[in-house]
Amino acid sequence: MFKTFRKFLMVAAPAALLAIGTVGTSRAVEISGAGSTFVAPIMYKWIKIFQKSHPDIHVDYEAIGSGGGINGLIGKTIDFCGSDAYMSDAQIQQAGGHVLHMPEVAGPEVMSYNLPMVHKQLVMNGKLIADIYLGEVTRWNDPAIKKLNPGVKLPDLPILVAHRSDGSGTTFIFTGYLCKVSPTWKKQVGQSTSVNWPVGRGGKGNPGVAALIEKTIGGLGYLEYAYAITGHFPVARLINKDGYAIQPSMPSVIAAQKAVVENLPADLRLHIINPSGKKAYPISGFTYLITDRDLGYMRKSKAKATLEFIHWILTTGQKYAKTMQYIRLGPAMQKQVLAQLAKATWKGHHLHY
Amino acid sequence: MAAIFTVAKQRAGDFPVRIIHGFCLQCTRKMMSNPTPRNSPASAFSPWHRLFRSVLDRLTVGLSISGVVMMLGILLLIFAVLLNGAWMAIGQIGWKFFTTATWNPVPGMDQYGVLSFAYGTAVTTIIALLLAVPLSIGCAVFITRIAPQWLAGPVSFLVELLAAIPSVVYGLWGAFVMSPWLQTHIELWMWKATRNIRLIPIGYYPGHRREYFPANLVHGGPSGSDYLAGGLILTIMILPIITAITRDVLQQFPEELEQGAYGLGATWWQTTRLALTYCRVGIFGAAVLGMARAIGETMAVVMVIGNTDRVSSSLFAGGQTMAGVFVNEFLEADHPIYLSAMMYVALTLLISALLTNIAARVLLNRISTV
Repeated sequence: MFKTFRKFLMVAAPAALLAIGTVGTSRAVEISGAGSTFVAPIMYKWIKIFQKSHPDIHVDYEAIGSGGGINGLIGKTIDFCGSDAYMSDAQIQQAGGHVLHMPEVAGPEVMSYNLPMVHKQLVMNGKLIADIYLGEVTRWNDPAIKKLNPGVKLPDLPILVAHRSDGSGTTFIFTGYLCKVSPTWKKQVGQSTSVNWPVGRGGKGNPGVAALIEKTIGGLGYLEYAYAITGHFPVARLINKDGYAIQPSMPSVIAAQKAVVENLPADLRLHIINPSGKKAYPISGFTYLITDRDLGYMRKSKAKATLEFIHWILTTGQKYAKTMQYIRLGPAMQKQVLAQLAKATWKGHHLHY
Repeated sequence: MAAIFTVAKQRAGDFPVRIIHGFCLQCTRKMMSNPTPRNSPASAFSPWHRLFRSVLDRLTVGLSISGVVMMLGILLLIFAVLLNGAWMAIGQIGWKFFTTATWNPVPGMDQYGVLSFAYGTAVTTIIALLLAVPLSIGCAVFITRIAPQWLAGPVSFLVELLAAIPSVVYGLWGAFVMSPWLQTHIELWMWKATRNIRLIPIGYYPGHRREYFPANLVHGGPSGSDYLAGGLILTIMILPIITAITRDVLQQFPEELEQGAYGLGATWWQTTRLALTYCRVGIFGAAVLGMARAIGETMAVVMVIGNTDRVSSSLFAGGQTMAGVFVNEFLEADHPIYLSAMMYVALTLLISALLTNIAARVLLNRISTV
């Protein structure tokens, strides 16, 4: 009963908007998407620009959270879903067994800290971050931190660990990274959109975590790159798989994409965690556009418009990523994603768009 | 149902004409020609007019009854939806849900217990009531009995304005302004004053260190994101409702009693005490309304309470409330048992709100008969 209600909400909200939209532009094709709030700012910008060159297609996006978007896709109440986490096997089964995951932009995660007395940028590695989040390293002058930062005068202060309190794709990627670098973490805590944190305090959303870090000298937490950059929060360089200390930035994330592009899983369900390479940043994930592989459940014109919009995002739309502090797809990755899009069909036929 | 109708009909028969005359031209015309139509018997009007009145009466009664039925229906529906959603978790977790403090939603590890959230709700609500009730009563006494006329109006307007601020704004203010200030001023001072006072041994910390009261209250040091911060933000949020109702109740204190008290030689303070005792039922009711708001508040608390699922006797420890875990995790609760456990939390919240309200009713009856 409850699920039905959620579905009802998901149908009702876009439907109401569509109904209003229809009055003016009676011949336009309406497509609607829902999901990730992380991608919402650039999605709205994309829609605005796309609309200018394609006045006959009306796109609507509701930022209701990745989980809600996936449920919408399962219930076929929306045409495409934006999600920070890829769908689990069980969810894909629920959605009919065949979906397409298309990464649209990458989102690195950064370790931000509050140590005003330290003027040099700190360096951390995966093991250290896992130990801090497990509660094994508790003070800033711990030998493990000193070893990675020779010559930096570290204060004798407790580390105030901050994490996300709301279920989020950001936490999913971050805990995935910790699982990969620390067997103890994998065994004790695991990977999920929210976990049973051994230590620390939770803040709601990026602003909540940022508030926790900012408030106390000695604070440490993970933030989305875009949020940290716009807020000018100090971020640590992270040591990657090959031992290089990497600054989170657009080139280092594109380098990370390049490192994984050779052995991509066929369905593109991946996070870029701990890739090898001289310049590859260790923690980033993709945010995905997800659709059914066969769009036979919608009208042909609608299927065509949906694919056209996605294709536009993956090609022309990419250049708007930078100004919005998102990280675009690298050329090699882009090619793979377009190949994925080409698999989409309508009642078994490939469409031209 | 039939009984209600009979009673309602009898009552409706007594309705003074002025309530419905606005709907009836004939009536209004008669009113204009006759200055005292109120006492004129209904038979003075034409049969058509009588029919019109009886239909109107029935319509009003029917509408109010359907309103009541709808309200109860919505409550029952909410209960049914929650019960249905929580059914799976109730079957799998059962009573252990109320004795476990661990909340681990990682798929495969699934472990759900509401204890730490229920504890957080209780602690923050108690802190809020302890601080807000005396403050509100003081504020209401000031408005009704101390402040000159020109000041009372603006003050009570400003206090009510607090109620108009959205919860999330309180939350952001709490996280970025109140919480750092609390940490570096109040909590630091509390911590320095209390940390070495060990009066009553009450248990053990993990690692077999003894825990003493009141040093345990500040264990962990000032953090600003803790039960105390959650309680404080709630204090500010429930202040306006308690103040407004207490003020209205105090204004009902009869002039004769006041004059009588002064006449018998009571001081200002003794008279005020008499007023407060006289109005105790209303003031208690105001506190109950404030409590209801505190139990159900979500966003503002989430922003300052630290969001950890642990139970601690320290006021400086991070916590979580039942409503808070909902706003945090509901959207991304992505596997069935997780979602069901969330509904179980909501059900617990609904039932505990119901029980506290019933308890408050019972208490209310008791003090009103004293």
